[in-house]
Amino acid sequence: MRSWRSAKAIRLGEAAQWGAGLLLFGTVPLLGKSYFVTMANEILVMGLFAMAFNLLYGVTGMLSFGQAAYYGVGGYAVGLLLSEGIVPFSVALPAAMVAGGILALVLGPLCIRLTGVYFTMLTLAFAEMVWAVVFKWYDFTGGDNGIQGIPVPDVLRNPLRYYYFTLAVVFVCFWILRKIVESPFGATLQAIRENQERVGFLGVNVRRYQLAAMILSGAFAGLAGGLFAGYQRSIHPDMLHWTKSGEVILMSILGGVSSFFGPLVGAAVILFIEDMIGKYTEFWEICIGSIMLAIVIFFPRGVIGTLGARLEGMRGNKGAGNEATRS
Amino acid sequence: MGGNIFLAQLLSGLTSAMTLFLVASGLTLIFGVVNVFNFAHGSFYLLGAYFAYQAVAVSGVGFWEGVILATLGAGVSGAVMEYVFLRRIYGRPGEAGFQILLTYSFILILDDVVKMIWGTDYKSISKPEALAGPLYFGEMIVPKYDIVVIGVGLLVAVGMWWMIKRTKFGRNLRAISSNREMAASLGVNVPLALSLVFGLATALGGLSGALSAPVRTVTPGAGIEVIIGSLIVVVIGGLGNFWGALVGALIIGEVTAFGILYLPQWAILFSYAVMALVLIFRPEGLLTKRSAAR
Amino acid sequence: MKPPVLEVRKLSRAFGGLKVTNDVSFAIREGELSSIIGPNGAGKTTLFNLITGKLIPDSGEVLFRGERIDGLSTAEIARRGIGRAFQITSIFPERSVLDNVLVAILARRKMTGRLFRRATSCTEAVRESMEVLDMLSLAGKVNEKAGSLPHGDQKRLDIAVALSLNPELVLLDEPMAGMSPEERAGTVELVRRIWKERSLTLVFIEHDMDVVFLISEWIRVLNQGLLLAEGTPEMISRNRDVIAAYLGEEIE
Repeated sequence: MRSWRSAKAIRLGEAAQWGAGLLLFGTVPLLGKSYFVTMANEILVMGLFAMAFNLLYGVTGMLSFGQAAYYGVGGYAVGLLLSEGIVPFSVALPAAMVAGGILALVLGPLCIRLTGVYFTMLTLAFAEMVWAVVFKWYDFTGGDNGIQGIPVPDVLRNPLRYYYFTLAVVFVCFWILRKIVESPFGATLQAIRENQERVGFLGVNVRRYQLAAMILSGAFAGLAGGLFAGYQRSIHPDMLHWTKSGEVILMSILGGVSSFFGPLVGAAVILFIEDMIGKYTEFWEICIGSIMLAIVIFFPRGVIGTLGARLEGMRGNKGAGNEATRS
Repeated sequence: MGGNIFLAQLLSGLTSAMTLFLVASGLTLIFGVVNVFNFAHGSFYLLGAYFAYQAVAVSGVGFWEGVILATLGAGVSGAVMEYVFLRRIYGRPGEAGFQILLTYSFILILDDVVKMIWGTDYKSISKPEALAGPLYFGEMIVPKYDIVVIGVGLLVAVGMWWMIKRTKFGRNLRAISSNREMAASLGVNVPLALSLVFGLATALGGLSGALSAPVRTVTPGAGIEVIIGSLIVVVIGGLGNFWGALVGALIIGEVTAFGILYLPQWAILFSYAVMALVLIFRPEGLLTKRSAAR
Repeated sequence: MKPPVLEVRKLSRAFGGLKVTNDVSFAIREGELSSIIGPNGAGKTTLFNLITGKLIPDSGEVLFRGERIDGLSTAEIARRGIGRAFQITSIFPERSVLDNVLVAILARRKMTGRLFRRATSCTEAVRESMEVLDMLSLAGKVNEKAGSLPHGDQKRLDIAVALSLNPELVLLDEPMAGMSPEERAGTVELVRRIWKERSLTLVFIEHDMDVVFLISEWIRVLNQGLLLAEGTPEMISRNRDVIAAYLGEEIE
């Protein structure tokens, strides 16, 4: 059957894409300047965070405005554990992932009782509560000072080493996320996004799958936060601020929520823009806000999505499904 | 605790409740009629405060004239936002998500616009002479201005109720909120009504900002505080429920006032906690009938 | 004697004072091909909603194979073997035709928790999906986006998804609505064939009287929430109350 033969070709093409991506990120240090390594490191971390968010939004259709809570909790897990010297980094980083997942396990069932705008607002409210706790609990979290000088193991002290470490971890996570999206579980999540009610009529316990999505998203967000803490060697309540949640939403919609790597691309674009804006003006909010506005109005499928749709239209293809699920 | 302190807190809570109510009533009005959750609503509070500052402190206009100008300014800005931008996403599949993203982008934009025009330092305007002093009720001291704010709040509540129940415009709004297509086929100019109602709602937000300007310093950050506060109020009262906004504002106003008294550090958490509780046990809001949210 | 496949006893449901389902009782026999008819607003879809768990009855019982199912969730009822197609087409628009059916097959096979294989590599499930799609003449459109299909195809896809669950009892809510006369004839034949081949018990809501009288063995008439009458097409066509209820609509 025609579709199976081209499926193999598609898979080869995909492997090439992954290879190219790894190559691209892997050779950044060769550019010589530490600026590029720093940027690439941030892109990888925020990219992971954005992909984790998109598992909830682009894949399952749940717009959470509170993912920063999980990102921040992961970062604080690493920050607190390392600065107190309780466990080594090799334990602290997985702990960040677990922390994110557990928080999602606690808050998730409450949020999931609602849909639509109510769901989004509750995620925001909970995230604000977590932020407030971190912000005020000076004795434990350092309050609005945060914690600086987090000790990272000697092996990773070199920024180049840490970069390659991050690259490895993040790409493994991407691979895992890809597997999740393409699996029957992922197909169910996508069906939930498309038509939640009908999925219920298929005998599926929709709430359980939504909760699972939240836990996975929270876990990977927590891991991203942990990676960030190790890279920045400091943590701050800003990591949990709702504008962080907004940033990751923007990255995803810019890159395109229905394409798998869209959020990563969006992260790269946004971070570059923020960096450039920062050089010329302090008024970055209006720039970011205008970009977001333009995307919502003119590129509802994200830049990648809209371009992709135009290309498909030109090829005369009725191309089905999301790139996220093509196999 | 002395009865006087109790009463004083009660009144202080009432004042902040009225401020919240003005903003929240606009937010809930927009949701009920236009079916949009205006995330950026607090930014119009902000605009109102800054317009008032500009009019009164900079241009030397009289206080009440300044308040009126600020209210109008906020209203017009809101109507423009609806007409030029929001309108384009009506009817899109997944509209709710786009609404949130679009209005969120306006939070960012307006935040910087305010900084660009007026800078980031704290601004203030003084209360009008006649209202600056305290009133004495026996041993209790109450700022005259607070009474005025409460009065304005109640006036607005009554006025809005009258408008919704007794005027043709109000009837049109009710028709639109229950069934937009039918309202249109009955001859209601729906697009015009949507812009008007949006403008009315943001005007209320602006009024609140202008009235609050003499009491709280005018800073860019105020917009975001108000967004969260009014969101909490509206959720408690029920999205789209006008009296719910009043009830919610009263609850939050008093909870915060007394919270500050007992546990100043964590006072703000109380409001969040109330909202979370309501969303968990009665997500449609305290005053709305069941199953709006499930 | 085996219990009837579905039994509805004194089922009632009101919305704000208006009784949309009023003390309705009937029993559906195994293998029956029947339809439910009635003027607009008679409460037909509400009845389906009550049976499939989307609505909870105010009073009365629904029994499936002798066991009570009223009060259970839609998912639980679906798992027990009741499939449903919808009046307003309810599919997964952005997903491919194959994915639409595949997710249903995976759900039935309880494979939706699987994380470590591509969904489309589950060869058994995919083969079964192709069978179902073939049966509904959609095999040629496997990779197309469901939302971009013409209306008639989407309706058939809706039915395909329902059938993927291998249900014993299938409820079709106006499966031919919006179809052209040719499509209707084709779909009618399809439905009849599927009913025979899979030994289903099939109930459908329909407005097109030609279709109803052509293929139903048994007809139940609802009006204003009440079960007005039930019987063979012949009996129904001569029932005065039914004719009165339709007020001038032609019944053969």
